[in-house]
Amino acid sequence: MNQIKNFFAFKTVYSQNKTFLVFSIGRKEEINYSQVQMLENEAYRDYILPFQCTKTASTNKISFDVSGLTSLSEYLKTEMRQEQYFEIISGIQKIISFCQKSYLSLDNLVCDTKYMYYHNTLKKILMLYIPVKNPHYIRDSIPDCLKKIHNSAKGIIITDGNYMNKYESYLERFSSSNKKNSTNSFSPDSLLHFFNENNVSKNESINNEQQFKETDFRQREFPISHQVISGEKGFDIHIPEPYKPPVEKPQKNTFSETIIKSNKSKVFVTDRCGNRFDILHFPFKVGRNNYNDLVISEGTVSGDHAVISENNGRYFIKDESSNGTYLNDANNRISYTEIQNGDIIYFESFPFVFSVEKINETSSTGTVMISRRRQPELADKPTLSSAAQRYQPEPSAIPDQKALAYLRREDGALIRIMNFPYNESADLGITIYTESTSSRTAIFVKNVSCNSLVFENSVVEYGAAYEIFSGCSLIINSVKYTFFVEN
Amino acid sequence: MFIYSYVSTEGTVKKVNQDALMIKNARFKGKEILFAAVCDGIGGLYGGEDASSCVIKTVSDWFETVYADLLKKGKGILDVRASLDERLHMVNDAINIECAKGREMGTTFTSMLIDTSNDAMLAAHAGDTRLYKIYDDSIEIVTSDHSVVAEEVRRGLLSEESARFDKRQNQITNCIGAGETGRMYDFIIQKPEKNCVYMLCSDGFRKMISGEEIQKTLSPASNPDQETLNKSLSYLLDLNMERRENDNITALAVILKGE
Repeated sequence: MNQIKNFFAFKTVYSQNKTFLVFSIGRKEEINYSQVQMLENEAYRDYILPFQCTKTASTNKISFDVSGLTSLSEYLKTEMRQEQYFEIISGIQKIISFCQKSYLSLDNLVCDTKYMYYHNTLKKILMLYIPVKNPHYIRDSIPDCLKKIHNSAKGIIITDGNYMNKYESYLERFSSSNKKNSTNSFSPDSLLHFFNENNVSKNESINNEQQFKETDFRQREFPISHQVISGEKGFDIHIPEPYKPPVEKPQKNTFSETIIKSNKSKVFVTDRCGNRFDILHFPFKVGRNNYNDLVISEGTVSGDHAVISENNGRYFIKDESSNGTYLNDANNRISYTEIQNGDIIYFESFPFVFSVEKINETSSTGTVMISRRRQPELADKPTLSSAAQRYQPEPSAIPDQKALAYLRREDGALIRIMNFPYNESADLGITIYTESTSSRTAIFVKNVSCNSLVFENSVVEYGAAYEIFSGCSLIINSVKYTFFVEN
Repeated sequence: MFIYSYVSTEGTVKKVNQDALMIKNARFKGKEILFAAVCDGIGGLYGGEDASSCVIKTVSDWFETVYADLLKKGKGILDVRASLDERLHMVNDAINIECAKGREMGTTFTSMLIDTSNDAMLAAHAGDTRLYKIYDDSIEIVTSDHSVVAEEVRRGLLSEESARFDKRQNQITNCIGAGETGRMYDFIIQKPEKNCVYMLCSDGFRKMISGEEIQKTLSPASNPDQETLNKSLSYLLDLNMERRENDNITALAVILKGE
């Protein structure tokens, strides 16, 4: 397990508010100074942790600055969404590919979750590279490391069970029991291929050429030369014009280039129980055989039953079966036809509704508005496969009822207001209630039995009521509260 | 008197800057007044850009006309608040008319009015843009984020730590426009402070840099004059760019000086 320990003595050193992981390397080991020099380049900062080499009479030391970083083994214990998890995996893939393209030996890359780090600000993985001339021993095999990561990540919230199943199958290809019988030895590119083949994290698993372009991009200058223009208007007011950054409007078709596409499938089929199967790539194969994208394990369904394909935003189905594929009607057997949102496809006698979901492509990176009636916990959830269900949070973690408003005490404690009117006459001596006007709802505070109630510097006498607003201050019996509404 | 500075860019990826900002200052009966706002637009194909600039123009107009009248009439800060609230709901309704036609248009909004004649600082807020107060030894977020993640933290479903890594940072629960009605905006009334730097920013400015970095760079002691304030904001902008912030980045800092 601790292969690193077998070959290097290392310890954690705290110095000048920083944390260093210091590897002591025996004199027999030779530091590869050409690699050290290469790794000093800024381009490597995105993948490999910076380090310093120190040579003393008896030993060589390599110190990695790990201040403020979270060990991956710790980070994996936290709850994370599936997308976050695959960002980590994708990050590892990038580092591996980067090392490969840079002729850095993967044997010297430390593949151990204890010594892989998550950068909390950059939200990415960084790894240690030991620049010694003698390779051979430092790393776990990458598939083993990925499996350990997968087994350690207990808190993944699965959002796409099909995809997770595929990833597990992918990892399984490299299990030791399969090794003898199969030709599936791990190559760094196979992970990239996995991402690309499954059309997920496309933007994450970019190749190295793109990454180098980004590095160049960082070095560009971004001159900021905005000026506020002063002018005189009105009542002795010096008014600069409203400022709008002078950005040229691009052609509409170029706008799409800046958008990172959502990982969520736009197209899916739903079985009669309501289970949703995302179509993550085309052609999407349906049949009884296990290698199909949608497997229907019924004797009357052919091994390779049908294929759904896409062409210029239009979708088509092709029948390849013995017993037939039918569209919208059990008598309407088709061989090849266009299908549209809402169509019912019968694979033999098993109906699936074909759906095309409109996704606003700006949403995944831009800000999106979540309306109350579409709170995440109320949104449709994809059906989870049995393999995915083990990651489901405990029932206790399922969100409880949302508060309508809060009173935040000056020490930070929150009093949740679950409904209006909020009667706290016994404890605080106040009531908070709403009244609807023609256009809006107004909120009032009433002093029922409070010895001292102050709303924004105005004393509220017994029996009196004031209209309040979200964000206002209330001093209730000399304790300051801020009232705010949860929209 | 006020010292103020600002930065704004489309970021490393986006080609359109949907953020908008505004700073205006005035004097009434010898008292200094400053009104500043930051918006972060929501919506593709210029919808967000149009919404943010529309809101900025509207509140700018409110400042020049309605607010000026209120001051002349000797109205207090609560009347000013109600008036600004009314104006924000009006622009919300106007944007929603466009939304009803099928355009996706909305914007977050955070403004700060420092009215020394009323001895008040009034912040108005909807969405995940923020107002900070930065002191020599601490930093305070005056506004509460109207976002799914912040809401879950308030509900106790997410820890602050988990919230930092949450993928839903871009999901907000309140804004102006976007077809939403019956929303309430936050208003915070405080005394104006001379020993702090007020900083308004869009979420793109603060995601890649820590509160500590903001505090150290923008502390009042480090920013005695306009030039240093300009440099400090530019430095933080560059830091964001270095760390590849792909959202629009906007920030605006104000210091109230003098007696």
